[in-house]
Amino acid sequence: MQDDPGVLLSRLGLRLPPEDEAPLQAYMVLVVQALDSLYSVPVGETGPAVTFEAPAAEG
Amino acid sequence: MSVPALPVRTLAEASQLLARRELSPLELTESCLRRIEALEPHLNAFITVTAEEALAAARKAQEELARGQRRGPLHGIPVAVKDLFWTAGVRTTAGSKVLAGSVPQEDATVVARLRRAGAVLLGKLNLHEFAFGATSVNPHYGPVRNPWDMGRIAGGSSGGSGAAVAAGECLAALGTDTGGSIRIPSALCGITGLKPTFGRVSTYGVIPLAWSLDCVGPMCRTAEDCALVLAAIAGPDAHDRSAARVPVPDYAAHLGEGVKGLRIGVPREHFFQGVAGEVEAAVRRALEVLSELGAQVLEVSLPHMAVVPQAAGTITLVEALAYHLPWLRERPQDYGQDVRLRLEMAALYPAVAYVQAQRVRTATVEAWRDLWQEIDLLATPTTPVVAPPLEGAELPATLALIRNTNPFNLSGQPAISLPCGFDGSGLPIGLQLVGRWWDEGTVLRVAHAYQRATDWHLRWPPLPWDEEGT
Repeated sequence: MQDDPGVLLSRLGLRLPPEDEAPLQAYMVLVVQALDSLYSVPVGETGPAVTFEAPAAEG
Repeated sequence: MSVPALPVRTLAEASQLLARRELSPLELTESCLRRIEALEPHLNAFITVTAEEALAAARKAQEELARGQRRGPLHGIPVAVKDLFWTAGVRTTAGSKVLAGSVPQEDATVVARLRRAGAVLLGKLNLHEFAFGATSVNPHYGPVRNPWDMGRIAGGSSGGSGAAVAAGECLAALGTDTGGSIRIPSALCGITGLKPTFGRVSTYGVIPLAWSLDCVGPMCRTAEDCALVLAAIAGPDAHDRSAARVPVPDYAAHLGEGVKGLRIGVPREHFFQGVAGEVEAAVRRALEVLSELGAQVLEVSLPHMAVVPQAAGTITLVEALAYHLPWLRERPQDYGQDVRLRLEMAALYPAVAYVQAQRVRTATVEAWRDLWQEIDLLATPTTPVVAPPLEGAELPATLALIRNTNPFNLSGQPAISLPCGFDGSGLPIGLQLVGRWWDEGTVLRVAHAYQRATDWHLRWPPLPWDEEGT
């Protein structure tokens, strides 16, 4: 994973204020943990739930 | 400045007195406004008070009631809404500097429904900036203080809603709940707050935090009051595709049916871990009360709990950034640092994390559906701890407070928090009851049965300015 939060933010057009650099660097660890955690669950072939309403009958 | 006592304790009681014309909407509204004037310098629950508009609405309600044109149980009842709901002609700040001058042209659907029900809108309530946190320590409008201890947080993000109801500044409030933002302040302020099933209540005109998790719900003194407010605001909305076309039951009609034979599950994992001793003891005592009332209490396991809070958190962060990105690019300095950091943190998540979180969500709901064949309700502590001090670590406090609530935003189930005791410092403790999808009725019914057997919900915070115990 990219180590520099400033680079990642710049891809979204964001500038990282200097006072946020240190806390955000600390957050990087949490992001990696989150990803590992999300992949620790056996979800099988499950996809995200997406449903669409059938159009109401006319007439 | 001393504060005159409210003439009533609950919305339901006020509603009956108004219907019998033993109390007038104007008298009740003036009473709330006097309390707001006296308490706000200390509590900071409101961002905007609309006193003149409220008095005009109260006069109108009074005239209609005098003519026998009662619209329903909310007619003439003073209420307030989180400053996240559009209000036509009244600024809607979301607790932010970004929207400090924003004046919507129309009401949120739920605000319009409250007005249509005859409720009297007192103003807009303080909150965690953009509803993105659980402390309501707001850098732009000041922190909301807990009426039970002014040195402590009211919880959030609907902290102003919790504090205002607890202090008797209004008889009901609306909040929003994306990870616990109705239930957490309800628990920490000693009131009753319901997060309905996702899609039960329209979110049109409500500034979003995370579209796929956001819920609107009532915050009141009792479950009965919540039932009356929910009935007024629930139901489909042509403006909101996520508001489901599901019939809205008459919640109040079934409140008195008791708990006999209902099966209440108590989770083995997660929800009692790291919980303060006095909180756990109060919740266990509440379960004994429900058992004595005829419910069957049994231990259960919820699959995937090790990852459910993480999935909810990932979805919240990424959806919030998607909404805020244009403002965050142009005016990052206008955000408080805690919220800005959370949004920047979201930018660090790869896209695959969001998709995987949604897969976990689907798998979790499927796995939990089986459990709900065995139980009718789930009971947990709402928060692991009582209200923390105002001065403290922001992110750790929020993460601790939401750990028992955000799983049910992920699953979309209805969940209520109601008072079930106090710790040794006199701070309220909340019991969380979770129901099946669309079954707010059973949640409210069990909460009501508990409140008929106990009086925690009627305790009043020891406000030093009160003339007498209200």
